[in-house]
Amino acid sequence: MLRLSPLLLGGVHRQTIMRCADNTGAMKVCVFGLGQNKRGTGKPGHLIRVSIRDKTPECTLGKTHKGMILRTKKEVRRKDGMNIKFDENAMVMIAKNKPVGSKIKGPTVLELGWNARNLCRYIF
Amino acid sequence: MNARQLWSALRDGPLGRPTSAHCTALEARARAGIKVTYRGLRQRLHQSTAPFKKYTVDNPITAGTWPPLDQMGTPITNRECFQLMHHLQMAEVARLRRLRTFSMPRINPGDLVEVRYELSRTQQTFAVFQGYCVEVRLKRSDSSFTLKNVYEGVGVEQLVPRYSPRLLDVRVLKAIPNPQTAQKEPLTRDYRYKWQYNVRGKFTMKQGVHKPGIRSVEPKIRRRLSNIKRRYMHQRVEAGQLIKAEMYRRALIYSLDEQRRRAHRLRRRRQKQKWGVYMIDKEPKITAITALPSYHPLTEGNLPK
Repeated sequence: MLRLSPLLLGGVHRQTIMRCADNTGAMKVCVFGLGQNKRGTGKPGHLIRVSIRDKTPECTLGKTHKGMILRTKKEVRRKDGMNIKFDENAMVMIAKNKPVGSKIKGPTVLELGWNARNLCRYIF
Repeated sequence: MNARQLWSALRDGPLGRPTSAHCTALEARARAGIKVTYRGLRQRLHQSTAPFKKYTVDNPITAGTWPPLDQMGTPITNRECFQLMHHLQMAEVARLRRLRTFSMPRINPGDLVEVRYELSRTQQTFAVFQGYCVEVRLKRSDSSFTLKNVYEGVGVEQLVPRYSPRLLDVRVLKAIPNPQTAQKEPLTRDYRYKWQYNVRGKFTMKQGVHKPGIRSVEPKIRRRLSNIKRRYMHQRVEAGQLIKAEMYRRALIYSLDEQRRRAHRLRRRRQKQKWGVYMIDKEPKITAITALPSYHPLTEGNLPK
């Protein structure tokens, strides 16, 4: 069971504290809604609902917001055998299926939606 | 009837060698009453066991060739299974290698590698990933290497399959020198905290035999240095830079030097061990008397009369 735990517990779950990687002003968020797949964990490109736990004074967002997972510590497995993993979990704020911020920091993967991917500099 | 005659009779049947086109050798055998079985695509001829009714271990005639492999067939062993899979894997590796348009360099852990691969074929997008190789997995067609780099303060680790057809280019930008001779195990092995207290045979073990760990790196380094020196000499001899006479002359000089050094050391030791003679290497600059305080009885004015 201890060996299986990284397989079972890896990825983004409810109550995961993540970084917000865009310039909306939110810094730390807590995931409370994961609805993309019925079971399993959140992967890059999945839409989530988060509550904002830490923000800068310029932040105009409310308590909760919609978002999309940008990076995960758990590796992303591609069909061609490639594996990509990052050193942190991160997400971006989403409203009306578009990113709220105008800039996104850090690298990301191809599995992301178009709107958010266009703002990223490094796509792997 | 000797063995050769028996074999030819079995091969051709009692009617002799079949000659007509429509009557094959196997049909002739079948007509002659010799059992013929078809096993997959192969045909197997069964020798008649008529002379010996019972084909058992107890039968002294057949016991030599037990088990009757021609009747039961050879079972596939683990070893054969492994070899079959290995050949399949090798064929696959060769196919993928032929498919590749670039030459794959040799990648060792620690190399700086640049990989170009296609992200999407329909959108014609490609990605370039640069990173240090942190792991190499050699698993035949499933071989891969892991690259790690930091982009905008976020570490990215990517596993790249070695034989992926989606790879466009792999280049080694910076290779580590001598990956073969890279130090694999640490110089010292300190087992102090790995000492097992509940070991079987602990009380039967002789005291002082087992000394856990290697505490000093000196002999190891000395050995390595001498190896390097020897290798260097060999290379020089092979390159023709050193001729034999010169080598011997040098060896003689070195040996004389060593002899003198040893004699000197011995003399020093003897001197040190000489009983009743005490030697001080250096005269102390500040004698104890000059360092004494003014009120001390040994200071000059204070000496008792």
